[in-house]
Amino acid sequence: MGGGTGAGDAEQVRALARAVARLAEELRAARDRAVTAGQVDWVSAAASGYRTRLREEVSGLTGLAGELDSAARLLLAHAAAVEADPR
Amino acid sequence: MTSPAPAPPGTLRVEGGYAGTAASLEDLDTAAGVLDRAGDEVRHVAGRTARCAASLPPQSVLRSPLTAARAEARLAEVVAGPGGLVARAVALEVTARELRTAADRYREAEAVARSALELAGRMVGLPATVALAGLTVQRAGTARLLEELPVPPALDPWRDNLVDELGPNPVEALGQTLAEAPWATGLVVGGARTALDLAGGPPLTYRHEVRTLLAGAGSGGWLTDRRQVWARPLSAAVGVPVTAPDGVAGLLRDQQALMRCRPVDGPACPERGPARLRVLRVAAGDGTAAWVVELPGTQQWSPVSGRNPVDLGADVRLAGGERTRLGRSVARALADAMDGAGVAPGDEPVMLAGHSQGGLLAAQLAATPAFRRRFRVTHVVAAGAPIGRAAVPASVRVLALEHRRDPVPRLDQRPDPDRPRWVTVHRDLGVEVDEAWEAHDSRRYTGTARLVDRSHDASLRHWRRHSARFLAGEQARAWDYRLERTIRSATVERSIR
Repeated sequence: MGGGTGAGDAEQVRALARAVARLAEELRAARDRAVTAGQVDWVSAAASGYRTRLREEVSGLTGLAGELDSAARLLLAHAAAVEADPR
Repeated sequence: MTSPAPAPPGTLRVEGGYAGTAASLEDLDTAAGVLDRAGDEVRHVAGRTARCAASLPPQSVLRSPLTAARAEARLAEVVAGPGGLVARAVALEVTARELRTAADRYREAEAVARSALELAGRMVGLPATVALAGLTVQRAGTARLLEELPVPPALDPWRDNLVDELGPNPVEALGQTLAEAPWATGLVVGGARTALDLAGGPPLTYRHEVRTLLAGAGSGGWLTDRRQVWARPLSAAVGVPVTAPDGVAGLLRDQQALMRCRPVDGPACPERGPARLRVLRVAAGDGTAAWVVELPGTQQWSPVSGRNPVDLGADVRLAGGERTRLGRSVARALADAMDGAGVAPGDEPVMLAGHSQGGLLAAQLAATPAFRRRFRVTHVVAAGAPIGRAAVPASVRVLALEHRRDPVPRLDQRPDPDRPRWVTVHRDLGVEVDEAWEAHDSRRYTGTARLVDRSHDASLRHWRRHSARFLAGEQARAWDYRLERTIRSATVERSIR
């Protein structure tokens, strides 16, 4: 087949998994900052609508951070599979 | 952004400042900025995630295509799926834009409401002015007639009572009317302005109206400002140690001393003397220092310019935003005091404070670019002064005290601006006063200042925190100056007459 060894490829995939896990943390930090945008002294129907929407966005970002963690785990599983491949 | 509930008599109603509407609108702008940055960060995460997905080693995909496909599919879904990173970044940026639009709409609505109120005040004010003027003249005229009416001695008590009832002094009668209906001040000024507009020519701005008034009065030798105003140091008070004002009430107490011509920490003069100005350098324990300039209120009500420059002419000029020789003399006095202390102008912060004309002069000096270029003006305190039109920059912290029954702060016909560094405190003195001029008294404002010093209101607490270095009651040095206009002897005779 040529190219890299199985062990070398697996290590590259693990590095990608760590990078994706770090991105999940960065996304959580961005989410935490977005939460502070809801702490404004604003009372009205429009303000309630804004806060509802912001809550949805924050919740969506939390879910995406979890998805990134999950993707990192899938990359680790892929690295293990590459390492286990006898070729 | 909710409407304030009316405050019961005696309590304070606070507008503007740290917890005011403008501050809240600024919060919305800040929140929009936060969401924008969060959107940028999410977009950045999306880009790097996509690069990770594209960076799987090709050999690894060939070795385990199924696990590779699972990981790639998950990463692609996170980046570009519905509700994915790209969609969330856009949504955050759209929300930020809508938040900014909401803040702008609030600002526009506020501006429209202010313009409408001012216009309404002017239009409704015309008949009100005519009616009030007519009533005052009628009452005064009838009283004078009664006084001159020959009646039998037995009816003298009856006549005296009636004259008292009618109020023979038109100024007194007007004062009572304005105390009973404080809103009438705005109507009277607005009505007078509309009458001036109707007298001919295009509608004038407030400033042009004042200039028209000054030009008309000046042709008759009234309200002039042609002669030099001197600020002469009082030898008894050149850099003498004193205690700095302990809060806003301390500033107002000093105002009373200024009006009584009392030397610094000395006994009061038997009579009202020449106009005085006080400059204080308040030193903090950490070696820094700040300056307080205490400006006197109106002392001379004659329209003829005499030796005392703190006069009616200065009132009118300052109300119209005109520069005055009085203002220039204040600059000279402050520079002289700083020179005496070995401090370069601009090195240390300055608070300008005053009651009535003193407050108006403080605001107008803070609004004068040349004055601000020379001195580092950071604070203004004005009690009972019409400063709503003063173009004080947003960087200067302003505290304005206004009594509901005091007509003077209403003369500008414009509410004070609502912004984070400008706090206006309103107080209804209730039944404590029955004359407008009583509500204007600096002693009454000292009482209000005491409430301000103790208030738990968020805007006032914030203001106090940022003005503590001026008003902490620390050791200070004081310089007193006598303010005097150069006049010709003929003018003296005229002013005495």
